[in-house]
Amino acid sequence: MRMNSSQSSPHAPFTIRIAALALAAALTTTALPTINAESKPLTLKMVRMNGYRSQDSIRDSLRYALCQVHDHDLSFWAREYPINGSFFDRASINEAQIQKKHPPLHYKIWMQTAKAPLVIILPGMGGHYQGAGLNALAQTYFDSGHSVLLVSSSMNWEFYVAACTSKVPGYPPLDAKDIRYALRKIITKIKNEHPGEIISTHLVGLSLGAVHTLFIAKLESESNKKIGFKSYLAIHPPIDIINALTTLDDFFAKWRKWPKKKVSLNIEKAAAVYLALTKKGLPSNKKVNVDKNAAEVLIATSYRYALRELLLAIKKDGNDMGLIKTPYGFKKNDLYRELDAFSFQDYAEKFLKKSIEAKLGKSLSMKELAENGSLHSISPFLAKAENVKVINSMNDFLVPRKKLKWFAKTFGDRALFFEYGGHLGELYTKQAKKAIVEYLTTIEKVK
Amino acid sequence: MNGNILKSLIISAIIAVSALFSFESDAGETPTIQLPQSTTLFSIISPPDSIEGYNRVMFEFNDFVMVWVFRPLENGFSFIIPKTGREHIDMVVVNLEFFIRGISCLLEGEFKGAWVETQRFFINLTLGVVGVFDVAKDWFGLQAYDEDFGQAFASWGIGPGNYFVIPILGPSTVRDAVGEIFFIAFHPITWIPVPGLGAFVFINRMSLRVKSYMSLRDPAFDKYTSLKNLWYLQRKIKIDNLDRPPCE
Repeated sequence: MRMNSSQSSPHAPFTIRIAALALAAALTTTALPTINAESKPLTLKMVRMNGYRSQDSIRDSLRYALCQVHDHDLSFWAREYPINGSFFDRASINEAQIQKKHPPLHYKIWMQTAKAPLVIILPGMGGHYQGAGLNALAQTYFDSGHSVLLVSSSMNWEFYVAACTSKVPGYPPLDAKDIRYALRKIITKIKNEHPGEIISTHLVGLSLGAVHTLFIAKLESESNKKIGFKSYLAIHPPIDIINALTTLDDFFAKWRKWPKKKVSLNIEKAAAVYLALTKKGLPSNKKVNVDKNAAEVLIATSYRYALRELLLAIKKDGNDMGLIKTPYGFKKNDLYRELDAFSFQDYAEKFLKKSIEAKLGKSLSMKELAENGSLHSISPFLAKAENVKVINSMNDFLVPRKKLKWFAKTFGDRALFFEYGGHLGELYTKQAKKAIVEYLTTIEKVK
Repeated sequence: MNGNILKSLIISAIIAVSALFSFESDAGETPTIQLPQSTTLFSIISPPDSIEGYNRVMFEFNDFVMVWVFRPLENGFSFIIPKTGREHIDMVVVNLEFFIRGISCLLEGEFKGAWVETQRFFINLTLGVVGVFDVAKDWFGLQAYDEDFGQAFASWGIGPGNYFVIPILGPSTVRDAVGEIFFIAFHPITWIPVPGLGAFVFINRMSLRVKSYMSLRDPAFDKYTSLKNLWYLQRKIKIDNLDRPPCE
């Protein structure tokens, strides 16, 4: 990879030297590395992360724990106010009926007191609307003058029982339809409750939620009955979600190589570091002091835990297509033993494929399933969609470096890359927050 | 009930439960590289739960109490005493609990911890206005040694035993439940003959915990299993003293 550089001659005129210095200063925040994509080199718009002590994609990703709601800038009286003192609690948790005979879907909303744009944030795989990182991102938008709405991921049990029309979720083209349908109902409800208070609507997604965001953008472009999102921001979308999830299987399997007595201790050590990050933060000059393998297993375990909960909900609803033998009952230890044996690969091959084939009424190979569910399938649309932007890092473990060129080729200037951060691990930084907010505010001004 | 009879009963209960308690030392286990394929990671990091039926029923009861008793109480309490006030009241109690932490440190052979706890107690009692402020930490950098009897038993090589949900108090293991009995027996509030003081202290502490409980409870589909695993992981982190230096 070649970095652009700027040099000034000591004999150059003063104005040129000033201009060169200004350019050099600009390049400390934005550098333009190039990568070879097919015949002509592509340029990536990269934000330099000065002061970020990167380790590797895995341990950088753990820094997502630093995305926490902060109330330290509140006044003493605001903090001590009996109700809704904290930003986390200041939101309303409401519900909307999405599907008949299903439980209602809960959502969390912070409304500005004046007219404002509404930002809807979709979480990553299995994420819940009460997730700490999601709420921290909501605070970033709220503090910049937006109203914010959070819903759970389509692969979270809550969305599944309330709004999923497939037997099992996980196939982005169909999940995106369900999410869009649910969002339409929620937005209609909010607009009825707060007439004239929403001046525009923007969709932002994290990880799997980012994939859904991009698929929803496509659906909106084809629909006659639009929700009318003004812009879309996809943060760290994996290009091929099904293969990305199998990467997590590889991480998860690493615990089997540990000595028996170390298994529990290694997980505890990694979890202790993660919890400490959430509670105490991390000074900028410090590294995340955790073993890389343990961090990989910890990350994969959290995703597998979400899968386990989803499978439990699928079993309870009787949509397991006979693949889970243990009955659902009051005691669940035996059921968990069976569920724990299912990897993401198993989920895709046994549950998802069968369910999608039944829904679409045709058989699909795993390759077709993965390809149709990947961003490749909508790349012609994404290449032309001016109001769609992507943010990623240069070392996201779910997006191999060689695949970064796909983003550059498809999105061009609309793709922004952070130098470090792994998967979502840069979102706590000021640079990332600024970039995330700036995109929406720029769109608001342009339109 | 006469106070002495109550104390005798508590001490008798301690002795009885201690006698029934099975010691599970795993000091002699040989580490193995390969585990059977049927073993899952979750089965390793979860506590043994052979009385799941009882535990689930008791969890439902505790959850009901938390949601329908302590949460409304917390809301009401917020109007009477703001959160910061309640935190400082709890800090007074935490300071009095130095005795439990100190003894636990001694039982674990952590003499430095016992000494630090003693220093902390006297500094906070005097300069910290009866413990309302933690000046030992803020001014002198003396961090609390958050030790208890359950951790002391673990340091002796006693295994956790079965997962066990204690009515009202919540998740525990057999070992830690015995530790709780010692905790209540040695707690200074138990020995202060002021009617309702214990209840006030307990409700105040629960009011500070109810929000974090709700934030962990709400996102879970199977709330029992989710909270069990989370509690057990945090407990093991504490027992192995991994909650001390967070980063390099």
